[in-house]
Amino acid sequence: MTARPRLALVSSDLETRRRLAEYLTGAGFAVHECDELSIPSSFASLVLVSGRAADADALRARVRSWLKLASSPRVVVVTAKPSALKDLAAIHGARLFVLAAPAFGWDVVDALRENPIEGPRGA
Amino acid sequence: MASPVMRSFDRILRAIAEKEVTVTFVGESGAGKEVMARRLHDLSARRGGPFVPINCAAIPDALFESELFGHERGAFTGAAERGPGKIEAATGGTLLLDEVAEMPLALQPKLLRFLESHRFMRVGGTRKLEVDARVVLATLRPLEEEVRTGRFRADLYYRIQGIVLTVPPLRDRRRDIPVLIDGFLTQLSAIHDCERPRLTRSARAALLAYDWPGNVRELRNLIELVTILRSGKAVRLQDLPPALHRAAALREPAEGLAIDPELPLAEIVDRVVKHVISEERGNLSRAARRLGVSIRTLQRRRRA
Repeated sequence: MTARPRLALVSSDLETRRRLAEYLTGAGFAVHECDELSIPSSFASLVLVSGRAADADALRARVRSWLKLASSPRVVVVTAKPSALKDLAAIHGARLFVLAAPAFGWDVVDALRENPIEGPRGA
Repeated sequence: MASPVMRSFDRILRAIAEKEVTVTFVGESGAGKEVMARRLHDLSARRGGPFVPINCAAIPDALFESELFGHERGAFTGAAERGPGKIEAATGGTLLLDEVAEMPLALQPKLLRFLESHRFMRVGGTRKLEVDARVVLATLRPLEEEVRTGRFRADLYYRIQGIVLTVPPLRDRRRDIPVLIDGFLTQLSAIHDCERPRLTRSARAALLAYDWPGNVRELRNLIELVTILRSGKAVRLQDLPPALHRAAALREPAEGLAIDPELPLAEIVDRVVKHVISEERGNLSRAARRLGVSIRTLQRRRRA
């Protein structure tokens, strides 16, 4: 039996996180919910749902740090400020998927499945 | 969705999703057939598998077979590598054949064989492959019409008939319009990096009154336009296309006075005064009585 791909779902909005986690679990992912993430490299994918009030610079810095630290995980970001990540998406197009909020759960699933997800390195 | 018709539609989807029956979505262009098919997939036991939509109207006839069933290396010029088709891509999940009535007649028997046996051969292949995928269909017009005109094979029609669900057009579920407007305004402002515009009451009323022949797709396109053109500003009735002005006017009562709250107060008062004078056939004293002002005030307003 194939192991479920592990993903971290990061959002400070508890209700959004709970609903999306339920959806992603149904779609076959092993979801770890959190509002902060310290070890991104232990997951095959990272999903960040950024609140409307989130600061664009802070969002960019967080995503950049994830991309720098974890070489294999795919990062999917749902945000009201997709333009804040335009530069990063241009550099990390194969790993970074930016979706404008509000997005359907299946938009997140499609981004996660775009190409086969590799296992995390060193996990 | 806010409308009772879509809530009831969703109840039907929930009831049939787990059953391995063929489902055909019939509905106007832009009504949301693909979204409903995706919802069906997500509610089914196949939700962990892929959802693969294919628009039968968008693929040239010559490429259709290869697109759907895949091809072996060297099957035709340019087929340098083996290529899996959409059916294989949908293994364990759901394959949506959108605008299925547009599928080339010559290919329909091959699809029929696949639906009956879940087995098929790639173009240029010699080996039969087995795939477990649920096939869901979508069409603009009921397939019976296509069968009658000879554009769709009767045997395939009877095989795929299954459950037919009609996706209601947007004009039949107007209560969904405000929810869709707000969702699109938020999403499209984010996509285009614009400040979310604000809809005035008259503009919102016009959007609700319009019949939306292009359905949700047309609504989204219009919201995209006003999001870009009126970024951070108010969207007024005059910012909307003329067809929406007409819709708003048609929804106004045939008799009586239409007041646009966006007009300056002096203009609104002027219109009310003229309307009452006209209703009183020019009799100023009766008009003044009705308006609760003196004849002199009324005369002054008329001169202003």
